[in-house]
Amino acid sequence: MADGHEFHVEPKKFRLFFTALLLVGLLVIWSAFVIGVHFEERSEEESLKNRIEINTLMLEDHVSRTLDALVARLKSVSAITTPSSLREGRLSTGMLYKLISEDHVIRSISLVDDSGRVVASSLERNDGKLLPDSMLPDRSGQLDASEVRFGQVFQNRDLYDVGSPAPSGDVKFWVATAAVPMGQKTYHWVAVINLGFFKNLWARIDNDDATEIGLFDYQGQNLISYHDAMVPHFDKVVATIVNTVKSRQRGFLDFGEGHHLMVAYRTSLTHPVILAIAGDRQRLFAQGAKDRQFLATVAVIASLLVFAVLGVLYRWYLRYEASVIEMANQAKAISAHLMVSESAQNGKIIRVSDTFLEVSGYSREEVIGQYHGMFNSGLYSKEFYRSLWNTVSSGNIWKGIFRNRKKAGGYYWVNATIVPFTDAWGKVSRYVCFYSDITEAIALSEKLDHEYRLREELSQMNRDLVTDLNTDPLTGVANRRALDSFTRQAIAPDRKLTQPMSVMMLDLDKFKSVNDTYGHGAGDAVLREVARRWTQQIRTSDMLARFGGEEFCVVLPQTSSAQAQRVAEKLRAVTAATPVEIMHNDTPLFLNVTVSIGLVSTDWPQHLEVKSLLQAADEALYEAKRGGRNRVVSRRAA
Amino acid sequence: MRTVLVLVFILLGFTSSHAGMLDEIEKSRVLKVCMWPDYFGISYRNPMTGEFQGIDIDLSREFAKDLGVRLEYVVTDFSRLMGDLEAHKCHIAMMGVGVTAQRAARADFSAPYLHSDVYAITTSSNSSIRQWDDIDQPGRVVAVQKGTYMEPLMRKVLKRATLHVVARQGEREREVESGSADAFITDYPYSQRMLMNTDWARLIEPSRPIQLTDYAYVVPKGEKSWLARVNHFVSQIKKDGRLSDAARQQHLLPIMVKN
Repeated sequence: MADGHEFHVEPKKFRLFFTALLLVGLLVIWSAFVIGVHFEERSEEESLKNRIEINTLMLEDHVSRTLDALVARLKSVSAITTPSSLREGRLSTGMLYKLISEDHVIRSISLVDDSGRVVASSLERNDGKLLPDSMLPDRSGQLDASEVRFGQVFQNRDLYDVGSPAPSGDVKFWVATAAVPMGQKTYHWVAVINLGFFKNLWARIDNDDATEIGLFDYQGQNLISYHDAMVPHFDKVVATIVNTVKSRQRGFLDFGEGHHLMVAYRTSLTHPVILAIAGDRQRLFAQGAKDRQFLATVAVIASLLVFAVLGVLYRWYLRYEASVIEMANQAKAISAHLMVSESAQNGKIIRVSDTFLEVSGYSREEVIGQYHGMFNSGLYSKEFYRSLWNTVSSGNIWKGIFRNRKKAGGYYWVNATIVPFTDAWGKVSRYVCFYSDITEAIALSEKLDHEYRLREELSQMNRDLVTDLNTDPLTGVANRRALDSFTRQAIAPDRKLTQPMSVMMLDLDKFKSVNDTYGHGAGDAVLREVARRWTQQIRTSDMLARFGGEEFCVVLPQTSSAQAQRVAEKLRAVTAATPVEIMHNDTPLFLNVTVSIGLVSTDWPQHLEVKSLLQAADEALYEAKRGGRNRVVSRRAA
Repeated sequence: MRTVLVLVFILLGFTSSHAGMLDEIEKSRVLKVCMWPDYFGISYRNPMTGEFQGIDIDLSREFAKDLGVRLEYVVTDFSRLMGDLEAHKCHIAMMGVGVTAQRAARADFSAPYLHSDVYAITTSSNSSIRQWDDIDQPGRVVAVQKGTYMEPLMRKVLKRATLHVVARQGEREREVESGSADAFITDYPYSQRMLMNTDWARLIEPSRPIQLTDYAYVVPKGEKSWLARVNHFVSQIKKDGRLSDAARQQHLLPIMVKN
């Protein structure tokens, strides 16, 4: 990470890649669509052809079987037709109706004599009807009685209305005849065939007008067609089939421009009929448009899906790209600011930053693959490194300051943070050390420490010096110098409020004789004792000073004359009340000591000089001495 | 002993001479119901099971149960029905009899329980009849069953088409399917039968009401107490839901008389 090469991104390449992926995806989907449509069309054509052929087979079979039954019915009625049965009225309408009542393909059967007159019929209305010659096959010829012949198609409802104008609509019939010998004559049974019977079945199969079903005879006479010439070229189709059936009894043909008709046909093997189904290829195909539309919908959805998936992926990539760049910048910032070294799980160095090399003095080749031990200064115990290693190998961050050795010798200080980096599964995979070189900082702080200590010593000495200057060495109370300074401050003109002030001069009575009698040591002891007692009697804001010899002075700031007189009286009393113990020739000796006190007070200390105050106090003291000692003389300053 | 027997004969003679049909039924413990076994939805023999089915089969069973007597069917058809009733071959006709003036002159009708208009059945391949108004056209042949109320009705209604009255069983259907007739006229229950049971039938509904006909039960003329009992039954089945249950089973709810 430190060298930054790992975070290289190629935005242009990736955008190209995504575009290419999108195009490929769309290409795959839409070529699949085209191929799918092609195959769908192929299989649809196949299934259309199949359907037409199967329908042809089925309908032809139905026609043949129906005509079989019709032929059988005609033969059976012929068999019972004799001159006597006719004469005796056994061929009644009721009987004939019953005979054909289950044959819905037969409208009626009628017996026609040699003159063409109906002599018996299943339909009363037909009785007595004279049929035109054209209706009957060769009446004079010798016919096989068992043979049934099929004749013309009539646009009539039954025999009774033959010859009259055809009714509107599609009522029409076909005739089948069977010759019956009646003595010397030949009669004919005429069956009126209900062609609509077939159409009832066809209606169930052919419910769209893209196909046409036709039934015709070998002469090409159209018996019925389902949609009545829905296909414009059906006549041509019939003509072609009539020619073809001579050689092939069933088949599949393509007709028209661009083979727009697919035609299946079959001939009946027993009856002179051909059944054909013609389908308009384009219109039938149009029905498969739904499937193709479905395919198109699928393709569109798949395309949108590809767009969406790639869009999501691209967003992910952009986020990745941004974070990689962010990381690269951060790494750059870190390695510019810090020394970074990185080691694999086994401790071998796999990467170091330029700053690291600069400080340590090694080249990259020298450190890669080595252990961090190469920088050991040798100044730390093994325990130090073990604890460091334990911390990071258990996944914790280690922080500390230590010294490393430079290549060229000498040490450098680092403030180090070792971070165990984990992989995506949370396992420690690398150890990354961030160091800041604090060698200079440490040197600087050492220097500052030294200077600070020196300054501390000096100021202590100064403090001691000041104390000595202001203190009386014998008694420990202030000396004249300190008192002057104190008094000057107390009466400094910058003090706004005017406060009263008192000053007293104290002088031990007949102190010279103490010195003379018991020696200077005893005198000093007396001085120390009285100073101690007086110090206890005054406030901390007051100052007691020794002027030398047995002469003391007390300055009482903010103290009126009355207050000061009470203090002075107390001082005099504590001096005289208790004798002072001294050692004389190793024996304790008690001396009675008294003091004379001159007190001067003023309400306007600012207006006065210290000197004049002290002088006034001196004068008062002198007066006290003169007045008999061991007393206080108070005065007001002028 | 002899006097007792004479008394009994006198009593019997007395009661029988004054007995209406209701008494006769109660005495004989038999209800004779005239029924046409070819009337789909009303009274017909199920071709698969051979059992009688239909709304009037259900309701005649209910009626016999109400009366507490045995049920006996007397098979008839619409052309024979009036004669059969007059000859007292049955006590009641329960076979969806349409109420007509001719019939009312010869027998008594109960309150109606169904009412239907007339419908035409043609073939699916018949291209000349597409709607009701195509029926009454020159050259068209229309079949009706003899004796049904459609016969006089169509005589009156048809102006240009030929009416073909047929009498044989199944002849209407055959006439139409074989193309001898273009359509036959029937009522709602029968037209439903055709649609359900044949492949070729196509229903032509009237474009406007032709004649709504009530269907009711018929009893011989003059049987007042019996007619009252029959009417009581009709009003009861309307109230207690037996009529609508039976009508629902036979898909006849659209033509049921509700009150």
